[in-house]
Amino acid sequence: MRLSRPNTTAISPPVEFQFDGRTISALPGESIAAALAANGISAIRKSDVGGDSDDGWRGLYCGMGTCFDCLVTVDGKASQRACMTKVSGGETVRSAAPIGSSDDPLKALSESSSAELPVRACDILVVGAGAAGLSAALAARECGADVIVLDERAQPGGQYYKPVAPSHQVTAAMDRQFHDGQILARRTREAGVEIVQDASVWGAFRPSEVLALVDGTSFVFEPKRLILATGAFERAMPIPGWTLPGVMTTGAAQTLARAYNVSPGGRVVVAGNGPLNFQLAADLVSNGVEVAAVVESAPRPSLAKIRPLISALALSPRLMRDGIGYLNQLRRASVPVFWGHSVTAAFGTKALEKVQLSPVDKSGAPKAHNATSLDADTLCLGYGLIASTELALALGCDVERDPRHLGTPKIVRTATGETSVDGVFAVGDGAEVAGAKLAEADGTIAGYKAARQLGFDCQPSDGVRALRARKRAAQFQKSLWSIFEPPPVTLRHVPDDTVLCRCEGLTFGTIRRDISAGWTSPGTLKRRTRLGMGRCQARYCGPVAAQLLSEETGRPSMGPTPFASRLPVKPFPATSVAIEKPEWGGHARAGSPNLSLPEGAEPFEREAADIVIIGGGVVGACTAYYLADAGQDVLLVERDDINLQASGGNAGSLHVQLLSFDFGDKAEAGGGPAASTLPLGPWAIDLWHDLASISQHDFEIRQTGGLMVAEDEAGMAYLRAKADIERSHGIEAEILDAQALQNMAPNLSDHLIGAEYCPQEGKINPLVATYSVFNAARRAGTRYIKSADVAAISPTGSGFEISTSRGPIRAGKVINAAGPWARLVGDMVGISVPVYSAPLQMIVTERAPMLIDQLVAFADRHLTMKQLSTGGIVIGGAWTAAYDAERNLNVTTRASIEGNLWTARRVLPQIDGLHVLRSWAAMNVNIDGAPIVGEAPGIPGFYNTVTSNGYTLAPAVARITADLVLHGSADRDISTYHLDRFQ
Amino acid sequence: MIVLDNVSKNYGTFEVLKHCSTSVDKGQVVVICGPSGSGKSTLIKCINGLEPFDTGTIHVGDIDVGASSTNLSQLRAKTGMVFQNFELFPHLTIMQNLVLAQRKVLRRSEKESEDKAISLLRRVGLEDQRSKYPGHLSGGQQQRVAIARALAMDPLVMMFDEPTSALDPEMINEVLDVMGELAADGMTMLCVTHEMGFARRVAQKIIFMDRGEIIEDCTKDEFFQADRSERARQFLAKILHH
Repeated sequence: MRLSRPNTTAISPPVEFQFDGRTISALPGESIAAALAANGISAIRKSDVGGDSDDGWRGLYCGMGTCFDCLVTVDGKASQRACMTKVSGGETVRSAAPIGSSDDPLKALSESSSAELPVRACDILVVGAGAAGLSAALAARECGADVIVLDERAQPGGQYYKPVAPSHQVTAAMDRQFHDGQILARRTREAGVEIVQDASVWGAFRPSEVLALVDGTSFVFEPKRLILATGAFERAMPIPGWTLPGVMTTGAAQTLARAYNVSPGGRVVVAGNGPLNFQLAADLVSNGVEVAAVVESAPRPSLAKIRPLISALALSPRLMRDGIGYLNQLRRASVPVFWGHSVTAAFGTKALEKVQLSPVDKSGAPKAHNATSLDADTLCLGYGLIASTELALALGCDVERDPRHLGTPKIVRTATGETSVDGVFAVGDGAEVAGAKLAEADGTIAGYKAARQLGFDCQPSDGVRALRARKRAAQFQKSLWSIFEPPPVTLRHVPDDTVLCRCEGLTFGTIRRDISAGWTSPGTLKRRTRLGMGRCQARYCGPVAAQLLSEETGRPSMGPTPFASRLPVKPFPATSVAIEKPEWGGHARAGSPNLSLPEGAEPFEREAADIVIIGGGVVGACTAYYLADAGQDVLLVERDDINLQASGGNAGSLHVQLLSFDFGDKAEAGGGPAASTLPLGPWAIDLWHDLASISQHDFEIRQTGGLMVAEDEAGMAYLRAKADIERSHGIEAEILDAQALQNMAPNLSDHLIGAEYCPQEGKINPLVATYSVFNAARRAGTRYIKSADVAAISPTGSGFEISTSRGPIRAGKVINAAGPWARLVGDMVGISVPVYSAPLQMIVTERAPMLIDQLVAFADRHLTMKQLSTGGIVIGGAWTAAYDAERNLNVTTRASIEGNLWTARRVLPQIDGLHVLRSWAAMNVNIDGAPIVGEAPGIPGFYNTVTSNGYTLAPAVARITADLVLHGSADRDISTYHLDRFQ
Repeated sequence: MIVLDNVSKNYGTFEVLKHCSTSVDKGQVVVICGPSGSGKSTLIKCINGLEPFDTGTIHVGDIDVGASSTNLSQLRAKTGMVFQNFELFPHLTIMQNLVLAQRKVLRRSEKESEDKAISLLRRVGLEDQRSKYPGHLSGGQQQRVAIARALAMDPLVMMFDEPTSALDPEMINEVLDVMGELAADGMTMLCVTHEMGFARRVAQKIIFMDRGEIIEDCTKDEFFQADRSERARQFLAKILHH
């Protein structure tokens, strides 16, 4: 339904577009989501991970481009946000993604860039054109700085000032909020600030290297100072049925109503906490929309609230008058207000039909026996805001957890907005949620400060005014929170079948089961369940998961968001940054930083075992299984938890043939050591199959064969020489011509002239396999100690004394399975184990139709690529990442992302139609190309077991080690894997 | 009145202004023309402090535009600017649009601001439209309101950035006529425009720019009659036969 407001008119007559074969009438300039809502359509996307509705229908949820739930295909371009994509007329919009066939291909999302990305330098870059961002930009510009503002929306103003959509024009007086926004935006523009609209900032590699997509092109902004004014988004409050179309945030409904003049639905329930919900309900009612109820979890303000009420009234009489006006409007329209209630469930088949609400007691528990049920097609949920801190986290700014409500993030700042990272400021609700007035003052103060830091001369008068305004605004906000103070929020009552993670369709039950099984570190939960791996980058599930972990374990919450920050902060078209880069820079060794984030654990008095394995990666887990299965007394010690470093960050290729960096003149140590591992590959894959059947788990092993493609004669010659070596070691290797390659993998680029095919290769899911092998080892009797960092090992004659951060362990034998950190463990017993750690990069795209079955590599180039069972394409190939000492985190670099995407689209052109969801960096084990196994010379009972180049060989080196421990010999020649080869 | 000395500006590696020097006398009407992307708009935006420049100096009266101590809002109050897209507030009446900045920036009384607004609206022929909202006016009328709004600040110089290029052809003349009257009244004016007829009629001086450089800086008569640079000739041929 369209709302008719007397003060705005549509700019142009309606146009039409197609949605799943239906003709939809729309106003040019409005969003696809608004047009669908105007036509009474709430089901927008068919999700591939299901949800609460039949067929996995999803609708508009956040309405502001952050949740990625309303994705549609627009004129063949996949994954466009219906809430952000404007209609111009004639579009073909579909609820489903393209199937990737020639009839329904993935259309390129952006132009490819041949040269370097365009660069824009400026004094100050502001991200976000809301109240805080505009104020900061204006203040800095008034001092004379050259300022650019990047904003994701079509007009400046942000969520608070909410300008009228481009489909409409204002033709009469508007309210104060609109007026203030217009004045601020105008002053900023007229001061000479360049405001770039429709700019999606997807990452920042450094404060002076900010990446944004503008009009399909990725730009690099190089400011001297960066001001983050990214605003806030609504907190997720999971209830059964909250993924049904028709359930949306209060902000989404407000944008529809205020910016687009469209009613969010026919019969609306507004629920949550705080005055915004009342504002929305009053606005809807005054425009003739039926509001079934307003549900407020705070109790009705009583005399007990007299103090904050008076204080709020004194500080901002206008806002308080507005608030009382909303309540009067609702009363006149006979809209019931349920104080002290919350929504406990939403029901419907394809879309929302019914809402259930209950009174909540003082502990936050719903009193189910007093539940009320209301018919509604729309439920607006507004439970407060969460600061959008993703960019700050990506840059390494310190972010704290403010315990209010479910815990909200708060960027650590000085009074003038400087974060813990030099040159980066954070202002407004994006730094700490506190409302628009405070945001404006915040922005002004930081804008002056940033300009002053660059040597501009500023008039401090406005700064003083801003400081006073900020103090006042902060007091008002405090009073408001006190008036609307809800009972404590708890997730105890959320049923197990409720969706927790919208992107991946994970339920509370799945996560609770894992937590109660002892998987209590966020990194482990992420790897085991895919929690937080979706498009929204854990914006919605992150804070809920942190709270759930805390409630279930009784430990304090891990922080505002429990997961490591990974670029991009918003998906971007892969092609927009695919640029050819020099390859073969070699591995950037990173020393051996301790990357673990151990959970607090009780000390123990003493432990003892015949065999102690140090390191809970895939090799440690496999070794533990083989030894425990043979009846040995095995203890696995890990300083963090299972599968968190090189193993869990691995892309999961099952390699048999040599990779480009293992063969030819660039290979380590001439390639000899790598070639000596060739016989291990097929054997290791057989062992993987055995382990999968023993653990009765699907490791997602697919032996689809592996292709190394070539685009020129030199590449073919390289492949032929490589195949000769491989065949001499018993590997099946076949050279394919262009035609045979096309027949086998029809989606690969037709400019490729051939490939080497190795039928034994394939893929495995390291996020399943390591845990399953570990569980098998446990069942076989392995004991496990986590969060215990090994500090020293001393031989005692009959064995070893190991001292750890949790207590001492006596061991008969010690197995060093510490992967990239094996050198440090070797140092503890005085031997040199030349293992280095090198951070490498991986990239994963959004889910795609099935495009490639095989593991794909590129002759003499850096590329490995495979499609996961979930549909995402993992792109790697040993591109260098960087170790960030400040954050103690491996991070990806722009050059590697650019180069890796270039090699990927060179081989698989349909990459052009996909967004990049995430890049990550994991420590790679860097030896000379071959593993190190065997008892250390001169230290009887101390064994090394370290594999090189990936996941594949883990069970092979584990089996060899187990045999050496059990029988003193292995049934194959291991002389080339022994430590003494380095002497 | 306005003096530019060796002004240059870069966007990264791209030079938008290259060593631009010129001057404008009090009461002079200057038309700046040149192909799109030649730096015309950037040049006038640098003059009123809308865009910073990298090297050189600009003086407006006794204000040193590039100096870090310059109060940019004061500078802009003295340099009235009229944009392509009118930039009127849509939710304020014509009268309110004219009064707002006088009240906020010049701190004039309501009475004084309104009197000024009415006399200026009369001057641009829109006195009877004062209670309407911009959305109810034609583009030409809106641009005349925008000119009146700039004049309300009593600027020393008026600058026009392609004031007619967003207008339907039948509305261009009403705006050019108002500008012509302004020139006749002795206002100092800098106009970025493609309207060569206006230039012939009203301008005293023409600045022709291409690729960030001032190629011609001469009187109107010299520009339209004498032998001009090849680039200016090509530009004029294109404009006049379009």
